[in-house]
Amino acid sequence: MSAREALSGATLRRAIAGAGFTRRVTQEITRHGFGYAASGVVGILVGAPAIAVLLMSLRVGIPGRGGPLTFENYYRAYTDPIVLQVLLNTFLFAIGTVLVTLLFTLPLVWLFNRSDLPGKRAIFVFLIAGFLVPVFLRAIGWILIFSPEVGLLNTLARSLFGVERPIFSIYNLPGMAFVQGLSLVPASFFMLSAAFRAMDPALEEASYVSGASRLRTIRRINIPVSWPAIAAVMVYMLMLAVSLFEVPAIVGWPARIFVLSSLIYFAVTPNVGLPKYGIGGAYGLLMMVLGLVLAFLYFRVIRETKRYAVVTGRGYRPKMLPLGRWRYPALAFVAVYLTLDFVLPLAALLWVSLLPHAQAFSAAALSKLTLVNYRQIPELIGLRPFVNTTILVLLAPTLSMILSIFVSWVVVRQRFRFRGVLDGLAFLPHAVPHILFAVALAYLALLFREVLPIYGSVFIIVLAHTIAYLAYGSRTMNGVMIQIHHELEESGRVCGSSKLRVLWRIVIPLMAGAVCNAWLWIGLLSYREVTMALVLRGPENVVLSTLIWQLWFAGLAPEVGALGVVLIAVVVPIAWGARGLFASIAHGYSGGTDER
Amino acid sequence: MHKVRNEADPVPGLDPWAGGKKALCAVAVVALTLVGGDHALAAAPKEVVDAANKEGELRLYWTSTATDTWLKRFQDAFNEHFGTRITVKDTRGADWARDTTKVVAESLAGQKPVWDLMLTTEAHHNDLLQAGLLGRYEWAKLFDVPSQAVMFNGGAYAFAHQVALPAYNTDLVKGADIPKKWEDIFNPKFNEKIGASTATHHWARLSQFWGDERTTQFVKRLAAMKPRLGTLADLNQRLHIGEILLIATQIDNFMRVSKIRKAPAKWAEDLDPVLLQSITVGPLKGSPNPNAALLFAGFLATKKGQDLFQEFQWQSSIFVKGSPYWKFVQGKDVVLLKEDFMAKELQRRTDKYGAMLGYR
Repeated sequence: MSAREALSGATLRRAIAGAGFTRRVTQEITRHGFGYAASGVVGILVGAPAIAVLLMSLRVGIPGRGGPLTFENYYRAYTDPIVLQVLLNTFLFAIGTVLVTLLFTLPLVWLFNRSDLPGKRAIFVFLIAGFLVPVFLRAIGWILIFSPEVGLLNTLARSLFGVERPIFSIYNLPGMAFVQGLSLVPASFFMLSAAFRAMDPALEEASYVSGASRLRTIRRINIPVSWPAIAAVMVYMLMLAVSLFEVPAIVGWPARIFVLSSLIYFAVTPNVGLPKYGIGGAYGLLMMVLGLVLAFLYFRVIRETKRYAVVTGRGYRPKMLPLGRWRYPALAFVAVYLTLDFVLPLAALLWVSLLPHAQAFSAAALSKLTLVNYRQIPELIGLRPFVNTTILVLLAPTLSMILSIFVSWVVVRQRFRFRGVLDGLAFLPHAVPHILFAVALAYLALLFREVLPIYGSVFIIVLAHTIAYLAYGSRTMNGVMIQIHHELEESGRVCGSSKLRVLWRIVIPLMAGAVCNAWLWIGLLSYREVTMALVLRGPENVVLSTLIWQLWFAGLAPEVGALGVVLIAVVVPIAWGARGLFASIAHGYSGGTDER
Repeated sequence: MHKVRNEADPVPGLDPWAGGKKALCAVAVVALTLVGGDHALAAAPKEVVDAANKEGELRLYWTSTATDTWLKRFQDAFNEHFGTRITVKDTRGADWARDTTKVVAESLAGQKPVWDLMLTTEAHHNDLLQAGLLGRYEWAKLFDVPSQAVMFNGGAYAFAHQVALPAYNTDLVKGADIPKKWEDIFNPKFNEKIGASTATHHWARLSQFWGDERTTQFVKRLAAMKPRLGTLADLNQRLHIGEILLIATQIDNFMRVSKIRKAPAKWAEDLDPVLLQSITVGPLKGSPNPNAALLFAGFLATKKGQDLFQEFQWQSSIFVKGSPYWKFVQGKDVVLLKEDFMAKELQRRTDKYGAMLGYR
């Protein structure tokens, strides 16, 4: 063989190998086009701000100023003598919060979705209404009730039993975890509801027929079958507890108990000088790493999808189990929870809203009751915040849910090789401190304002919330989608339907109730979210949450209380109607079980 | 009428920061000079008025306590004063530091500032100055602003002041327990029932007067009382409820709210020195409506502007003879930040005293 022939042979082989590679890539993309598309979209939406946060942590000064990369922020952040104590506090606080949340949520969600508990619609509405009370106003309620000095309980104990030292106090780690855990019950309730509702009662009936008690059935059937959804809630709430700021600030600071979010707050909210976003980013990176570890562990749980499938083609018949003599203890449990999370905060809200200034419960204060705070509301709030908030709570959950369903479908239903990475990416926004995420997003929006002119408009808040709540939406959808057996989709595919058509006609209808619940809940989260909205705020995009925040920080707590009461009065009938509508949707798809 | 005192009275044995004396002298000179007469408005140049009118709009960043009614009142008074037809669009700031950063970041990204004019404090305007976002204006010549009020080489001026002093619950703290001097807040009765807010720059300001060493000892004693920590708003609620008896420093914005609502809260007014924060204003360089911004800033120096702001925020300028705060500081020492101190010491000392109290 001549050199020339040998050369052309090698070229030919390279060409064939090249063609093979191209064909494999083409086949891979064709086969997993949705996976790559989802990864691309989520990668850009989540990855760009996350990288911006990372860069922020490696630079000194404010975003956009450039300068060399340095570990100075990390050095300053992690050599602080209090950091070890703070990390320990954060760990204990987060674990305690998740325990308290699950302690209330698991029985509540079982009673609501698996039993014939009466008054479900009212409970649903109370859960939503309680969530609408701003955390700092709830705090006044907790102070009025649990404060060692002026709290109602300690005052009663002093007058009734003559005790000198306070017997109740929330100004400690268990108190913080209790208050925070309680406030997260509605969110976890909505995340778990769909999974519990979708459970096939045949499994429970088989357990009862075998002689197992209700408790044993819950322990051996309900919880294992719902494990992916419970794991999702645990992972989500753990991260949330690590990142939330308000409760540690209101309950922890008075006792000088700091957690990671307190340090981030101090770094980015100085009272003199510019925020130290770099130091915030250095603390934030720890949260991102923790988030990714949790996302990895969670993905290991949901990998075995077939183990958890309960909605199959052989008949899916959700049915409510009769409580019998347990009905009244069950109602008592619900009443205790609602008293703690709805009645007391609402009572405090009403009390504060009817007084000229916050004061402890007393007969003397009754003589000062006034409606003046309610009359101030139109003066304090124009029309724009309502319009912006309406746009926000309609668009953000819609976009977030579309993305969440798409992501979950790829993660849970497709054999896409990078689905673990995609799931981790979808969880990442939850692990990045929201304040840093918003700063990064604002900076990117400024850089790309010619391409996407949303800076300063309500749409940048919509985008921020869409991305931020992707973690919530995708965790909820993962938990539900995992329970739907593959055979339902396979039958659709056998009949010649495309993947998208199967998703649209089979998977989504089976999850309709869960989709509605998650949509509603993201809407509520969006309505209440203040951190990102404040960072992204301009003259044109004020929303109600930022308005409430600024009124609170101007010392106008009674007006905020009055506004809170009015909003609850408006939302309760809407939530009542929505509950009926959602139950109808779920009813229509589930084959007839009425759970309204 | 009392005279504003012009000397500090340091405690023997504790050597105040040397610059503090200089600062105090400067403040005293300023305070004495300002006693000299009302500041009638010089006619605003016609070209500024015309250009502002042509712009037709002003994007104003100001206090979170503003309402639509107040915005309209300011807009109407402003337009009436200059014969203009300018629409004022406002943003009510909840976090001045973060919003200042936002403007700086916008500027770095090549974006025009989202606001034309910011009504914030001298410390925030100092940050804008460092970022090159303040221009240079002849405030005294254009609007007859007292020369002592002009800051940052004409980039901004102090049109009003904010007072900070300890505040106590009038139902629970009476008679001899009411602090008469700063050290009285260490009354054992207030142990664990005193609030120390996130506004730790108050201690840094005090240190300009007292010096670092004395202030350090003071904050150390305060920290030993195990104060309740929190934001000013949060501590104000706790003071009203009676959970704490005293807030180590509370600003006038909250005292105003307390007074309007007849809440049981009052300043310990006998304390000396009085902490002052300048409320400053200055057009942002590169903003879309620079002339409207300049004109509105000038309006705040007029009698009409001063009276309206006093009615709105209960804050006035100590540089304007006869104003409520001018009267309040007579016979007292006042602490006003020097630009030099602001640039070199304010941040460091704020962080230091904050860390001593438990903040980071």
